[in-house]
Amino acid sequence: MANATADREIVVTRKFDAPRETVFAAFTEREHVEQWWMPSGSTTHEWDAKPGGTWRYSMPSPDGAMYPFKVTFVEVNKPTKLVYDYSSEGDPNPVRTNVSFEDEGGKTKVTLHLVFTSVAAFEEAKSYGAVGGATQALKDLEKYLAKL
Amino acid sequence: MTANDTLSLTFAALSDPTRRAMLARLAQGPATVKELAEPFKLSMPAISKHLKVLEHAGLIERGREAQWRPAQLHAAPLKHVSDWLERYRENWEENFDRLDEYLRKIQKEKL
Repeated sequence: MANATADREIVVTRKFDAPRETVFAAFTEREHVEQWWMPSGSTTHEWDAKPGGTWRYSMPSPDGAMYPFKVTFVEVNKPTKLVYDYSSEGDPNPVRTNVSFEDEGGKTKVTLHLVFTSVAAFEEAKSYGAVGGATQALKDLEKYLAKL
Repeated sequence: MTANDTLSLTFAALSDPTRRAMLARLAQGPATVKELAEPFKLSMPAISKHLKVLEHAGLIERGREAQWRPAQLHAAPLKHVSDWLERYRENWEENFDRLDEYLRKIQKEKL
């Protein structure tokens, strides 16, 4: 399945009115990350934004309980590309996230690909392509669902 | 059954192209087993097995008449899958809103 990965991705894009270096820093430097990525009331337990390094933090839920999350940095290529695995603490099936930073005349286009390996893990390795299937099926059925 | 168990069942049922094709057919309206079998070079028992998987995952409902048992789509589990994936997108749209605001703030401070 050549397109298996594409089928399992969610892509979110946004153009920011700031230079690429600044936007990249906002994703990879702790003092920035704590200002926007982490909701207020969150705590950083560990920060090491190098390939193989880990960022651990806890985020409050609406009911006040703290939920721990773990980010493992895979690639940190300043200022163009960031790859990390994101999961709830203890979840063995992270969501792989690829972030690209493109310079567009002084502004920066950020494209975030979420790759759902964790989805596939739901139904064992043997039917790994399931999410592609699910996504395709959803596309096929989109019109039907819209009527519900 | 937990939400994740339900998702697993849905994903497992959707992992097979024949079953996805059957669902796509049923999205156009109810069909009998015979009608569902027509596009596939599969035996009736094989078709029945696929239908059972779909039924178990709650993706289809079947009539009570033993012989023909027309099947119809039940899309709620698909909506659940869609919602589950969509939650991540919404989360990042919100994160981007916060980042946008933050970048404006630090840009302004620099001037």
